[in-house]
Amino acid sequence: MSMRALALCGVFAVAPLALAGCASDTSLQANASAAKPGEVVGMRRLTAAQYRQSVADIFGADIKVQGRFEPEVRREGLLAVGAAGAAVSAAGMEQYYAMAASIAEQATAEGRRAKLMPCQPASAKAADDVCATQTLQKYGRLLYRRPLLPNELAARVKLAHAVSTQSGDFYAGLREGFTSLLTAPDFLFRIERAGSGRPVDGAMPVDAYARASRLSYMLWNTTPDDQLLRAAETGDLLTPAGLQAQIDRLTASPRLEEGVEAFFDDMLQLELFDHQSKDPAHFPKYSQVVATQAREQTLRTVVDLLVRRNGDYRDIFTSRDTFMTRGLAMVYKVPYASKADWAPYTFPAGSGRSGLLTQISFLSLFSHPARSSPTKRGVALNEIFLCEVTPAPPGDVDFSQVNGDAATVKKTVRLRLEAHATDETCASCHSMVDPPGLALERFDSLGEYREFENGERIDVKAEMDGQIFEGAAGLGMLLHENPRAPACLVRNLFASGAGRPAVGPDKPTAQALAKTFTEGGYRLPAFLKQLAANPALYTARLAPAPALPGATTKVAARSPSSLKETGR
Amino acid sequence: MRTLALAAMAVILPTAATAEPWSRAYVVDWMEPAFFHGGPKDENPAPGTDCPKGTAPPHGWKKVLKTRWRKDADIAYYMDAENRPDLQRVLRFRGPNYENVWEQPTLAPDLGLPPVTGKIAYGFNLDDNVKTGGFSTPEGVPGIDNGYYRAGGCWASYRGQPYKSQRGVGINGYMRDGLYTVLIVMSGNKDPMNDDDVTFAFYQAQERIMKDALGQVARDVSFSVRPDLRTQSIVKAKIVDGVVETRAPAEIRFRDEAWNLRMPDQVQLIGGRLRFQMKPEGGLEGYVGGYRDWKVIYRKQAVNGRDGEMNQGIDMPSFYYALERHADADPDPKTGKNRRISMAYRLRAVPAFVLTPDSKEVVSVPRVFDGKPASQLAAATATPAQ
Repeated sequence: MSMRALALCGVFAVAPLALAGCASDTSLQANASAAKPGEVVGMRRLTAAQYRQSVADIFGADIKVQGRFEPEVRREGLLAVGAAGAAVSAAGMEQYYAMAASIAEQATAEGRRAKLMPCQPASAKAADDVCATQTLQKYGRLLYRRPLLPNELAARVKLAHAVSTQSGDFYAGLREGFTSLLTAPDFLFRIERAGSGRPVDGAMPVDAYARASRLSYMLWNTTPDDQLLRAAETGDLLTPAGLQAQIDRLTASPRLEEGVEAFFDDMLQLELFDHQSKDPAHFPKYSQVVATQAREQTLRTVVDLLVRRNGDYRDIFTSRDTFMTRGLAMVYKVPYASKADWAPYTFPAGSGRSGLLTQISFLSLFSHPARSSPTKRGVALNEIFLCEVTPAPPGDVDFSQVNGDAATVKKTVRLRLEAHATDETCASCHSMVDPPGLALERFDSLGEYREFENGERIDVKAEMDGQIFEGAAGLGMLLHENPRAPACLVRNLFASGAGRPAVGPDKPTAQALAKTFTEGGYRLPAFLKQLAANPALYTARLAPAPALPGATTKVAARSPSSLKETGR
Repeated sequence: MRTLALAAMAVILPTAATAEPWSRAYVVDWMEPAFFHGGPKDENPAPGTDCPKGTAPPHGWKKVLKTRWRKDADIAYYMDAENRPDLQRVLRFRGPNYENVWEQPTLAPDLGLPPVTGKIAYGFNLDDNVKTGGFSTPEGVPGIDNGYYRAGGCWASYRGQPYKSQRGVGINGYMRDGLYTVLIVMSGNKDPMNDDDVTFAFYQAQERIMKDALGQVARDVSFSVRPDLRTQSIVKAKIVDGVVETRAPAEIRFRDEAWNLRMPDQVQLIGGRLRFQMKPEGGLEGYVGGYRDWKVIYRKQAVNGRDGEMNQGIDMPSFYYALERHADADPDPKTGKNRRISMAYRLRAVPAFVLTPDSKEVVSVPRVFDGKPASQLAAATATPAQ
C-alpha cells in the first residue's frame, strides 16, 4: 500500500461509517501503464465548489452545504492538479461528517420526501429494506459516480435497517445511509480506475466511469449526470461516437459556463480572495462585498468573452468590456448607470484599463495589503498566463531598499526596485518579473487608477522580450501577440482535465493541442470539444506517490467486503 | 453607451485650466447647523465666549410639573426613569386644559432660553448690512446674520467644534445609515477652479449612502436623482480660486437633516447663499445660508422630532419664543412679526457620480427633474429656482 493510500485510509479511520471504500487494493500503482483494469490509478479530492455543485445536482439546489472544507492544494499552478495529492485530515473528516449529516437531514426532511424518494416505504415508522435499497442504489450511483457494488449497497441497507428499527423511523435509517455514502472516499475523492484499453503514449486509459467524471467535472464542474453515467455503464462512452455525442451534449449546454468559470477561478487563483486583506486606512473602499464582486466580475468577463461571445482568448488581455456593480464602479471610479445588480460595462478608451490584468481581481490579489507590488504582479502574470514559474527569492535578500527607511527617499516603487535590483542575485529574476508589473503601476493595491505616487508621476514604460511598451494597454497588446499565452492556457486546460501537469511525456500532446487552439482562432468552446475528444485526456500517468506530511499513519480496519469491492 | 462614457470621462479626468465643459458631483457626507463653539476644544458643555454661562440649563421638569393640582407623589412618579413614557405624556399635554404644548407652545410660559452672546458666528451677511446680525465670522467678516444660532446655539447638544457636537454626530449617523442622501452637482464651461458661470444644484438621491471600511461615506459611488422638486434647487454660482459662491441671493432648497421620516424633508432658504471650498482631495466643504421659516424649524424639533424636551432637556415652548424673538426677516404684513430667521448649515461632501432618475445618464449639467419623462422637460439646461 502506498503512503498516499495509507494516509487516506488512516484518516478515514475516524469515521467508522466511511470505511467501506478504503482498503489496500485502493492503493495507487507506481506505474499506471502497468495497472490492471479496475486498479486505482488516480484519486482527486473534490474541490469545495465541486462538492457543493455535486450535492446541489444530486439532492437539489436548495440543500445548504455549511462547513469548512479542507484547504486546497495548488500544484503546477492549479488546484485541479493539487487535488490529486490532497488528503483529508482528521479535523477535515469531522467537517465532512458534519456536512454529510446536515445534507442527509435536509434531503430526507418531510417536505422533500416526495421529490427524493423513488419508492414509498411500507411504513414511515419501520425499516423497509426494499425501498431503502432502491433509494440508496439510486443516490449511491450518483454520489459514487458509478453503480454501487453489491456489498457497498448491502452495507448501507444494513445500516439503514438497524437505525430505522432502533429509532422506529424509516427516514432516520435512510439518513444514516446517505451520511455513510457522503463520507465515503468514493464520494469525497474522484477515485479513478484503470480501464481495459491499450496504453496511450505510455499512459494507462482510465475506465468509463473515470472518463465520465473527467468529462463532467471539466465541462460542467459537477458530478456526471444520469445520461453520462448510462453512457459509461453501457460502454458507449468508450467508443469515439459515444464520447463525441456526450461531448456535444455537454458543450451545447449552458452549464458549460460553470465549467469554464470553475477552470478560470482556479487558473486565475481567485480563491486567494478568501484570505485577502487590505489596510482600511489606505483602502477604505475595500470590503468583503467588493472582494466577492471582483471575483465574480472576472469570471463574468471571461465567460462572456470566451463562451457567450465565442471570442478570441487573447482578448482577455486587451478587452475593455466587463461587468460592473455599484460597489465595483466605486473602486473603478466610474458611474454605474443601471438599477440592476450587475450591468455590462465598457471602460472608456483612455481609461488605462485593458483586460483582466487591470481588473480589481488581478491587481489587488497580487499586491501587498497596503501597497502595490510590481514584483508580485509580474510573478503572477508569468505563472498564470505564461506558465513560467519564478524561483523563490533566496533567504538572505536585503529588502532595505524596498521596505526600509531608504524607501521613503525614493518616491516611486520603480525607483525602489531599481535600487533593490542592483544586487546581482536579485537582478536576474527582477529583470524578468518586474517589467510587466511596472507597466501596471498606475493601479494601486486595490486596483484604483492613479497618476502619481508620493507626488511623483508614475512611469509605466517597460521592456519585455526585447520589446518596449507602455502601461497596461501596451502590456495587454504584448501578451495578446505572445504565443506562449494561448499555449499556457492549453497546458492548464489539459492539466485541469487530466489531473496532472502537461510535462514530460505529455508535452507533445500539449504542443499539438496548442497548435489546434491556434488554428481554431483561439476559440475556447471549439477547443474544449477537441480537448475532450483527445484520448490522452482519459489516461493516468502517475509518479510514485510522495509521502504526505502530517498525514496520520493509522491504518484503517479492513473488512473483507472492502477488499472484494475494490479488487474489481 | 458612448455618451455615457464621455460623460463619465468629463467627471473623472483631472481637470486643467482650459475652457472646456466640466462637471463635478458630490454626495453630502455631513450636514449640521453652522454653530460656532467658543468653549474649550473638547469640552462641549463648558462655558465659552459663545455661551459664557455654559449650555442652556436642562429643562426643569419638576418645576414645570409643579401645579396646584398635582401632588408631589405624582411628580416623584413621573421623575422615576422607569416612567418616562408617562412623563413624556404629561409634559406634552401640560397646557392649562391639558393641551399639547408642543403643538401649541404659546399656551405655556416662556421660561427663557439663554441666547448666544458671543460675537462670532458662521454664516453670511444675508442683508448686506454690516450693522445687523451682530456677528462676525472667525475670519473677521462683519454683519453675519444667524438668528437661529443666536436662539439655539447654547443647547448642550448643539455645542461643539465643527463635526463634533453631540447632535451633529447623532443626526449625521442617521443620514449615513441611509435615512436620506443629499447630492450636489456643479458644472461650468471654463476652468473648474475659476469659472464665473457655474450652475450649482442640490438633489436628493434614490439610493442610500454607502459607507467605507472606516465607517465614512464612501467616495465615487453612483446615485440617481430622486425627482423631487421640494428638495431640489439649481442656482447660479461662480468659482474663484476653488471657492464656490452664489452669484446672487437665491431660493435654495435641499433635503433637510432629520432623525426620522416624520420630520419635514425640505429646507427652503429665501435670499439664500452658499460658499464652498473645493478641497484638494476632491471634496467640498462650506456653508449654505438664508432665511428660513422659523415655525418649520420649531415644528421639526418639537413636534416631528419629539426629542427636544425628553432627550435634550430643552423647554420647547421657550425654544419657540426664542426663535420668534430672534427671527429677523420676512415680516408679516398684518402683525409685523418676522416669519423667517437667518441661519446657515455647514455641509461637507465627497466626490460621487450623479445620474438621471432612470440611472441611464450622468447628470453633467444640472437640470430640473420633476418626475416627468425627459421628453416633457424644458430644455435640458440649468433652470434657476428663482
